Amino acid sequence: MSKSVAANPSKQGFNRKKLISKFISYFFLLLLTCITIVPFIWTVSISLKGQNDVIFSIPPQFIPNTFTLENFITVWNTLPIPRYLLNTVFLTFFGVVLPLIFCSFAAYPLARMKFKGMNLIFILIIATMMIPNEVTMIPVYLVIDKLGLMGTYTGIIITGAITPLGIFLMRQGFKEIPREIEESAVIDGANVWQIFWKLMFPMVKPMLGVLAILCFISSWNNFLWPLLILDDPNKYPITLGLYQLQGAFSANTRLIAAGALIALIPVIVVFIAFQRYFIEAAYSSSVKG
Amino acid sequence: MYKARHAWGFLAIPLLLLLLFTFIPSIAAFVLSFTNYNVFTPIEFLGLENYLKAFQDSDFKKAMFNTIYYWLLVTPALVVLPILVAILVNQKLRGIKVFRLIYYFPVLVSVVITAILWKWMFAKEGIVNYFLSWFGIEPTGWLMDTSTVMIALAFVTIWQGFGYYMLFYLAALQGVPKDLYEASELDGANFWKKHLYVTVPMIKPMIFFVAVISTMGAFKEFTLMLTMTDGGPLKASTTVVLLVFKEAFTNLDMGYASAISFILFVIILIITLINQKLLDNPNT
Amino acid sequence: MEKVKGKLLFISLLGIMLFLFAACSNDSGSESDGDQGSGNDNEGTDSGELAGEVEFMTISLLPAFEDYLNNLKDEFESMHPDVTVTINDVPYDQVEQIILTSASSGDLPDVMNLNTEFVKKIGAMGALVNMDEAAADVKDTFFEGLWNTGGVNGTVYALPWYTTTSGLIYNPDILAEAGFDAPPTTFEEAWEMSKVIYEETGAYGEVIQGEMHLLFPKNGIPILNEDNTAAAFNTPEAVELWTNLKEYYDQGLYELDVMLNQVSMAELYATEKVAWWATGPQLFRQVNDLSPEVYEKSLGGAALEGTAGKQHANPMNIAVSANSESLDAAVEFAKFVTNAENQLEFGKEAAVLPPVEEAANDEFFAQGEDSEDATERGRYYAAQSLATAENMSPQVENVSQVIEAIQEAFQQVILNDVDPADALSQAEQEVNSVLE
Repeated sequence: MSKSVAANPSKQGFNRKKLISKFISYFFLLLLTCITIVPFIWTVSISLKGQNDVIFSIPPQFIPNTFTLENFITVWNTLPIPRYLLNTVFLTFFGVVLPLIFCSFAAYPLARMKFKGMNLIFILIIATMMIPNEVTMIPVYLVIDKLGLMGTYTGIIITGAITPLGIFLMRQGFKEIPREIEESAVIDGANVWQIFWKLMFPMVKPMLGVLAILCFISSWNNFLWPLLILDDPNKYPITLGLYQLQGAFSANTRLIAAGALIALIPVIVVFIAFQRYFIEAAYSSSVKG
Repeated sequence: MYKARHAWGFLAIPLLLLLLFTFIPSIAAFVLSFTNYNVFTPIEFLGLENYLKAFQDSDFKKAMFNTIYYWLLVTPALVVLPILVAILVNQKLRGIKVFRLIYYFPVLVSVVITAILWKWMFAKEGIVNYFLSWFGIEPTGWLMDTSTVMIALAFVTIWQGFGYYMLFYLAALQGVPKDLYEASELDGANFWKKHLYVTVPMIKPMIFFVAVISTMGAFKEFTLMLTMTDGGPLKASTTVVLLVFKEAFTNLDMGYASAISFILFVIILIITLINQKLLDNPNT
Repeated sequence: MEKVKGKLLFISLLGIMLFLFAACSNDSGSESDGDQGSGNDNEGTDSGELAGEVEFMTISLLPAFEDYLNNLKDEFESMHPDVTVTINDVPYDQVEQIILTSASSGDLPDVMNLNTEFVKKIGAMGALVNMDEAAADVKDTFFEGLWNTGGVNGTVYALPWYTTTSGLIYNPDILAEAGFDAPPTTFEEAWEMSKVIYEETGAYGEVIQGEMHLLFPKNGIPILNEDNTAAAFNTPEAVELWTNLKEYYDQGLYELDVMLNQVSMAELYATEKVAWWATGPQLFRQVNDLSPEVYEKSLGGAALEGTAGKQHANPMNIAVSANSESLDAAVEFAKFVTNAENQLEFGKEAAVLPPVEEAANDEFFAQGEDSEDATERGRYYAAQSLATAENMSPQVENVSQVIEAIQEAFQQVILNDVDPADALSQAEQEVNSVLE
């Protein structure tokens, strides 16, 4: 990246301007950081606070008086965290991979092919996004029941295997690819599958990256459907498992915070990985192209 | 070069899945909106009764007003602000990846934590008032006042959403050819001009996309209200979908809940079409 | 080469999908689809011995009471070898969604732990077993005022399980600072003291909590008329009560944040912003979770009394699905869970109270009057009021809407300065139209 910057013509005024703009950029970057990182720091701080540390105080006290890992240990000992995490990883894997594939499958013809019915299908897909999930919940539940998928992971995975939002997003991605690219491929004698898989699919990588992150978050945090479908607590994903920290007679904010962090850390790790892979990859390819 | 069989080949599995888990349930919900379905007693067909009831229901009217108000507070901010942030983090600066990650944090924080945190922030003796007191602003209970509650909730939504939409714009910015910027820089365009005349036209499809998505998001929002205010005080933060939720699961009136949903559906549809007309206009 | 690879990938994906479908569609087994009265097919053998599977849904009790629940299961199963009990614990906030979805597929849990409002709603719709009949033999073992908790339209649809009546946890330091050496005993006294406490220490005394509609029955104002057909709370006494409460609010004696659920009482109390907290003693430990220091110095006492001199009890209930496939076993299990012995056991574990007279009379609940521990002492006082306590919630199907109408009217008075008399007659109209 930095090579292209160095290659730019550098006059004297230009450098000073660069410095100022850098300064302004960092100012805003840090300002936004302050606003967004507060909840994270706050959660970390609560989770590390000992029993006699005040949680809710004004002005806020971020550094615990008594620093302890006790809350994490309690959570770890009360709940089978590794099993829950493993369950979540399994569900999330399918919750990301399947929508990436199926949304792309659906979006590709909707974006690039003009046939009877394509528009109607797209409108239907968009229209269903406007219906609140709360009223389709019972019908979806009944479909899963009729398919005999109650109590299974398949029931959870399959409901999330395709999302109208994902189709909409991927269609947007495919639409932005110039026509000429396909045409030249046809001249080279490529078939439709090859055009899709070798040519178009790699070109929507930034969108795939976005979709992967969205699906990852929603799968990881999926709570209601596992609750409705699964009957065996051993199959619970982490979000559902963590709800057990809020018992009928207790609500220990410190434990809830510690639990939330345990569930959050893998998300951050994956986010970093995805961001590197997709956004950076797309970045270099578009510079090259 | 494409044949119809290609299109249907790609669409086969997705359509099957959509049919089972999206289309059929949606149609079922639509049918139920003409009934008294409550899960337990036998279904009776009511004709248009639920719809007529909705138009006379003052709670529904209030919820509709609240929802539109919330949408107007939230969507313009979520369409514009993330563009600026995306441009900001699309620069080649040291540590920029860390910033991108941090801006996405609010999306990652669980609903429970978000509710606990912001209730505390917006409390009368909370941090928000603490900061505002520096500017001589009197403390108010943000979430306890009918006139401020939606503003406070909109703020939380924007806080939570800007990183999310930033991601979309960031992906779109990757498609903007770098030489366009260089050309406009040579023309002496400043920061604002450069982005107004180069970036905005190039990412216009994404702007449309974000406008549509955030509109739908705003019209369908209810978990935030449910966890933070339960729609109060005095229903000032009851959105249509929160009303749907309560009619369905507290008052056990699925039929009425469905009817409200489909009235909302029509409204979102109209807004989406207007949106498309506005943004798809080939003026540029 | 590449072409083959692409096709292979596509085909293998298809394969995975088909496999996923096939692997899990072995038995769909749902012949009845939400329709009524199809149960009762395999209830027991000819010898009268109970048999079948009983699914027991509890609310937010795991993992804290895992041992207790498993003991219940094991004991019941050894008494009735042909019965299998499965326990399914669900989070409190999602109970309604779980009940409704499972009912939609005709698969309601056989035995359910439900809150009072929900029992009334789905009981009125015929989803639950009539306990006046099915549990007639054990009816007399319960306190009368509590037995009626699950009642709607004259029929009781649930057995009261564990219950709570209020106790009081108070902070002697704040009281002492304001010059008091004992907590209040009546609401009237409480508000008098609140004024002094607020002036002397800046802390609150009495506050309006979420269930403020209960102030009516606690002060002798009935919420509904005797046949539950119309509102009865629009009385001069109610106007006076609300006028006073508005005055206290204007004097700054309390904030609406507790009633609006913006801050929890546990939190206020633990941060010493309020001098006492009237609630079930089973919740006192929350203070300990937030601040052991404050809990340490706290003491337990008796709940405040209104002019009616009665306490409200809010039991958790055990209901049986009317469509249960093992109906007899399910009813038997419901009785088993709520019998004196098991109630007593649970009372000891969770600092809750048993609605069964025999269990409540156990010497265990006679202890703790002089205990240093707030929970123990609070439980003693709560147990003392149990015999005269009753569930004051209106016994109608639309109970939530009735409560909401009253609460919103009160918010109108506080937030929008609406005249109490106007607000009450507005609420009266609304309640009447809900009950029509």
